[in-house]
Amino acid sequence: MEKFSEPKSYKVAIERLEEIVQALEVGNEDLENTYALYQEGKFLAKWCQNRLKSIENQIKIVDPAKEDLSDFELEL
Amino acid sequence: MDLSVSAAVKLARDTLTSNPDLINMTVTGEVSSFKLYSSGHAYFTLKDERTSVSCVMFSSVVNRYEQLPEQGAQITVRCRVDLYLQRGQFQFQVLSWQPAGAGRLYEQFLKMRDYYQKAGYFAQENKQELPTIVEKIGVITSPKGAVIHDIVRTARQLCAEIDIQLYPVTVQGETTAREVVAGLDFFNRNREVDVIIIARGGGSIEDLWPYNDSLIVESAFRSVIPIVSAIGHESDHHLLDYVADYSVATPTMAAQLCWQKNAYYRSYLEEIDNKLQQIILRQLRMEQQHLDLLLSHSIIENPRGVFSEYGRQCTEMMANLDRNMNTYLAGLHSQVEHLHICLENLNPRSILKRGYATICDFSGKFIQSSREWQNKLNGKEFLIEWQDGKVKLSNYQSEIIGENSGKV
Repeated sequence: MEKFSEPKSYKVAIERLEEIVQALEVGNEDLENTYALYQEGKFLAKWCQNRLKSIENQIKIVDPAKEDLSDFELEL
Repeated sequence: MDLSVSAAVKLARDTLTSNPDLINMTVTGEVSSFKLYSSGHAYFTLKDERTSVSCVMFSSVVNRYEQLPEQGAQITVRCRVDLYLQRGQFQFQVLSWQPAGAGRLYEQFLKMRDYYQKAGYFAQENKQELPTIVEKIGVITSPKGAVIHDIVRTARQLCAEIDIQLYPVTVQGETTAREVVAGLDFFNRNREVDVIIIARGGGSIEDLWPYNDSLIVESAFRSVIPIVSAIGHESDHHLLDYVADYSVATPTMAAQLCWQKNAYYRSYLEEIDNKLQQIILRQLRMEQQHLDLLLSHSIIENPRGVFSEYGRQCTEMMANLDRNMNTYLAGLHSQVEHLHICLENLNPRSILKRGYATICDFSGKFIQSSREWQNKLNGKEFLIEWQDGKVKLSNYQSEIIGENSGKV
């Protein structure tokens, strides 16, 4: 099972994924190619999803004097 | 004198209003913070570079005008000095007003805008695109107030996870420009955020003036991280708006601009899984159908059937062959028999069976005509053969009588 290389960037990954979906929808590939594209598509989709999932949910405020970060609570 | 407050203030007021120069003045300055209240009275500030003073225009004066002074406008007023007794507040009471040309601050803004435009600071080719998704966003604004609330609320509506670094600044006054630049510098040095939002709410031309500061313009221009500017309630109204990579009217719109692709891609990727599966299933199904079609061909279902058919044909052909051969042989056979009979009939010996006799000379040669008798025999010995034996004749007499033409 060949391993796919890390995409260079999110933009590259998502563009390639859109390309693959397009190609598969047209449906001119033979079965072997289709499966290869499907695998690559799944890999890229997973990678992109992980990038999104890796976004932390946090708001930090910078202290301009010390340039360090601390948790920020929105005043109501 | 030991006066009460009221008395003291009244004394001041009376002193002021007794000065004829102070009750009939013509003053030119810039308008800011103009507000018309439901009472019909208007309050604003009139200022120059060093001083600003509160002004009131009572409803009786307001109603005389179709247009009222605009923020930032330079106006000339006829007014009188007044001291609002209850609060001891010094103010001008405006009796009439008229425009005095464009506001000085606004003029300054236009000049700077021209300068930076010609120098290429606003050129489209220098603008950066927003990243495909945003992972971390830097926000330069006040930590208090509606702006940061709006940004966070809007972002949370779009995405479950938002990662913000807030660089707090005072959003008006002398230190604002330096603080904003420090924020830009911080984010550009650390390179942790994908986008920087610089935002502040609405206000007068002076309130927002720091965002025209050349320090901010230069720093924003040099930023390697894309900048979204949301200053006041309008876009493209301050130099920062022009030099930023994106300019929007409100902090809410800034948040939408930044996080909307994340929301889009999140649902797109969820669908993709399904989509990919459907596509591959569809292809597999097609291949399966094709295979089924091939397999259902009679040759595959029943290979022996093919052979038995051939076998049957062979058997049939062989039977035909046999039959034909037999007929042929039988035909040959009867032909041979027929020839045999003919041959037999032509056999000179069978003629004897019919009672005829043959005549031949002593060497065995047949005499077949009277002429031959005359020429060949000429009196010699000859043989007559009947079916039961031969007779030799010698010493005989013969003579030819009669001739046939050959026909008997």
